[in-house]
Amino acid sequence: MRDTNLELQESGWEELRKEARKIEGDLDVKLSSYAKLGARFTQGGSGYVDSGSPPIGSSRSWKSMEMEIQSLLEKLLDINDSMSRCAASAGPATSVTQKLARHRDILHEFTQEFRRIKGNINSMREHAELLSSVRDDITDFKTSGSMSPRMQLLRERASIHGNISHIDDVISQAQATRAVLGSQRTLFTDVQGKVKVLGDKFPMIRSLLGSIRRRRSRDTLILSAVIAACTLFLIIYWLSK
Amino acid sequence: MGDHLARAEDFENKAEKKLSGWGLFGSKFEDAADLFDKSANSYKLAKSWDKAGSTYIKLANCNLKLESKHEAAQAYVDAAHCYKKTNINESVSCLDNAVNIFCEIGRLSMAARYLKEIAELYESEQNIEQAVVYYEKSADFYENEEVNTSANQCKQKVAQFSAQLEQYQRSIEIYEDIARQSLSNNLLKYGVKGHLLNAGICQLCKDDVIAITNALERYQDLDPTFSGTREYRLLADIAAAIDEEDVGKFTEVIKEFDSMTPLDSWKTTLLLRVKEKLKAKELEEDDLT
Repeated sequence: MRDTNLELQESGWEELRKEARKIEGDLDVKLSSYAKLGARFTQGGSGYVDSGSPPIGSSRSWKSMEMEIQSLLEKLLDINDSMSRCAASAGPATSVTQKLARHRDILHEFTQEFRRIKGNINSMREHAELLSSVRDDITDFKTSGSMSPRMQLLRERASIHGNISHIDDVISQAQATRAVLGSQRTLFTDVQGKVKVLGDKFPMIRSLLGSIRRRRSRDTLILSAVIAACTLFLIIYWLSK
Repeated sequence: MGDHLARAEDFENKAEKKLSGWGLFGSKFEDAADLFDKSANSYKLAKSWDKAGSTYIKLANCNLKLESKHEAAQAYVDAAHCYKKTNINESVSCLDNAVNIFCEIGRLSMAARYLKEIAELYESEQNIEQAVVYYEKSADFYENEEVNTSANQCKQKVAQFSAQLEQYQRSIEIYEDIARQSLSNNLLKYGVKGHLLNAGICQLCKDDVIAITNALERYQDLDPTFSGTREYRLLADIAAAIDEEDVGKFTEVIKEFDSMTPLDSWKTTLLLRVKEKLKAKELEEDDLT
């Protein structure tokens, strides 16, 4: 009975693991094509000229692929939960735990990557949608024709602004370093406090010795009383005889 | 890896045994804390993040019994870092405990830092409401400790997410406040036009032309050089396009600005909202005629 149950669980585990690996392969392929779709969206967006039809077509296939990846992720999550229950019921085995942790890590990575690509595609789509208009040709001609003398200066100023942002980042790093040094100082203060705690232990030892001393003197007193009583009894007996 | 796991479980069992026993000098918590620390470290080496997190929580409880509050808080932080890989809710609750302990011992700057970390966890989980709450708390604590740069960073995050949640007035107040502070700092004054642009975009989202005009006048009073910048030109032209209800002009103005300075995704999202409102108004007008 028990062996049969164990075999059933083991075969269930292997089947679940095989299915998990298959879904992981599918997810990898679909995430790659999803990323390529995002890149194509970028190329379509930067052109500004043919922004009439490609967003609609790209939007349809992009949305359907997104839903596909979402459902695959949910399925993989369910399979991981099933494998976790199988591992828990089958008892502690190190290799099973390692494989389970590996699958969980893979699921986490895929989720993060899907979320990142989705964010990228969303921002690109919004960008293209914001800048599309019915007067594209006229605007393109006007922009490219008349704005070229000032473009150099404005681009340079933008790069200077970027430098200022980088300086802000460096200042933030310095502040983080200062915070870490502050926490180190707190740790050293705590070490000093612990040394004080160690000093407080010695009064405890002293009180223990005091207690021992009191007990010993009490024993001495009791012994003296017993000896005195016996001596007195002996004297009384000798006199009465 | 399996070897680390076995050692970790061995250390944990020893620690539990020492806790359940009777300590002559009252140092059983200290010995158990050492063993829990070794156990948690071995769990981390074995990549068992859940068990490492729970062991760090036990370590924190031992340190609380020993009245070592800083070490207890540090153990909670370590537990949160372990749970970050598997269980976000546990991670947040551990950081919350660490923040409470740091507040008790008066280390507000470290409390602010870990509040910011909680906010970043919620941000990565796309939970914007909670991220706003914790960024606000973090900004308050940084301000209490006079760390204004970090406080302003947290406030900018609050403003950014508030705008995404369509609480535009709040975003406007925060951006204007940061711009006002930055004006008095020689190093930061060149970023003022960025903050004022963000505030102006939030004003545009409120869809009130009079408020936009008043805001632009106020910004000129704040920063006399703002009226000569391209950011001011963008806001003024967009306000004019909205006043005239002209979507083509709106798009033209934004495209011209974007060809020089590409808009980031936050500005794109908000301006897209403005454009869609404008389109709806234009269609409504067409229907009326």
